[in-house]
Amino acid sequence: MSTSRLGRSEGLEKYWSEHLGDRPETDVAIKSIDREHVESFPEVADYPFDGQIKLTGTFAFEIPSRNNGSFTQTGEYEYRTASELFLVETPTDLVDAEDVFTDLNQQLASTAEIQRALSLPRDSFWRFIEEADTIETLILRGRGGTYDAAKLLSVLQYDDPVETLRTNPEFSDLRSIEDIEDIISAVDTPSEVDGIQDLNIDIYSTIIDEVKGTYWFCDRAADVWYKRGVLQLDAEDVDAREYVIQLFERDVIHGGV
Amino acid sequence: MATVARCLNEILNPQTIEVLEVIFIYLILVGAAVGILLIVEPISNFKELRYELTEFVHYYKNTAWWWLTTFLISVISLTIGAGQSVFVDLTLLSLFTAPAIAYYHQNSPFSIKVEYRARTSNGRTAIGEEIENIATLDNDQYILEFPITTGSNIDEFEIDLAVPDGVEVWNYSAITGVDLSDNKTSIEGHAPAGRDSFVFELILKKTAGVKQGANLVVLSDSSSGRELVSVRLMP
Repeated sequence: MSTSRLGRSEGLEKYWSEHLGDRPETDVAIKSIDREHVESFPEVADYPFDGQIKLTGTFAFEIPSRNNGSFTQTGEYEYRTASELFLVETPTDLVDAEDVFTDLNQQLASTAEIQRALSLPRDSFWRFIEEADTIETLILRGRGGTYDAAKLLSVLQYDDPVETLRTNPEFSDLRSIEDIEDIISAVDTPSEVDGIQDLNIDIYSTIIDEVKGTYWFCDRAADVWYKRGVLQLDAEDVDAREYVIQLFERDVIHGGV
Repeated sequence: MATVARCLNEILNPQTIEVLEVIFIYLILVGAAVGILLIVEPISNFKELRYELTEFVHYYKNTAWWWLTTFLISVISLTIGAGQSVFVDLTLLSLFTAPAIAYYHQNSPFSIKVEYRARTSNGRTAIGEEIENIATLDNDQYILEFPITTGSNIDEFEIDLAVPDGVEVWNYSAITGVDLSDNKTSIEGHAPAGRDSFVFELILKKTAGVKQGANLVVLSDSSSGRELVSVRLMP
């Protein structure tokens, strides 16, 4: 399972070179740069960035050790020139993607600075979340309070969702939400609810606080985690990873324009 | 006013005065009609008109013009007495309405409104903080929610954003068509089709930390400079 942290940068390819990291005060060094074209997956209909160039390669990151020395860890990066997505893949928890972003930004022109937190249009991001095969956590913040919409989906599987909400201790934290019964009552046929798209959530007035979802591609899973602008992707293989990235690019990056 | 009327009586004959009064009334009525059209024309429904006018009164009552014209008309009315003639009444009325219409024309639309919604760290509504418009740190971040209402008469809007030293914009959550400008000093765009309200979330990250007396986040209407909301960041 590889873990990628997503960032975004405009026009990074103009500044990207193996000389990044030549400065002595920096801990990161670009080791290789490869260029290739992105081919769209047939499973991602209407993919808008077919043929875009992506820069991939490895970087070395120097980590200080206890005896005033240091050791080096190697990670991978990927920059997609049309969608402007930048992915950092770190091999272990010893290398914090946040530190890699910070070090790279110190060497880049301010115009190409990598945004470490993604500011996403909620309605587009919501479409992307709807594409998930399973949603483990979906913390939403609405007018009435904060709640886990994944739990709300579970309540709706019961014959009498409102009564279950009132009596079942498993859903006690949902009860404090001011308009939760209205949300449940607004669902026409609760037993037929398949996913969050059936919940009638007003995403214009609701903040997405945290998401944990899984996308399946050819029996390989890719988990997406998002919280307050930080987006992380754990995929079982490169194809599952590429599939989720293409979905994200189509629904959020292109859909949010 | 009575002196002016007496002078006019001496200089002009009564018929001429009547004609002038009719012209004056006509001009006042045309002016009022134009003013009303100016307010009503871009507004699509009664609810929005009521909202726009309520907000206008809210802001206008805080201006010096409101107090000045009210005071002036009160003094004149007490001195010469209101209700003597249509001419005098309309003159008094125009003394009040003309600056109000001018203020409206300069600062409209008033239907753009920004509120502040405060949360506790576990996501519940922080009523005290919301009433006092203050925000507290949560894991080195200030999470500010701004429910924004724009009237359907506003195609494009721009709200200036001023952030104090010691924090930086880490992230924001908007909807398609609404963005933070590249230099992060204004929220701009257009409300989604078919609706006129949405929530804009702004996450500020603590850098050096804010200082007492210089810790306000201010959102103001870009065209008029009118302050829409301000939030005090607690150090």
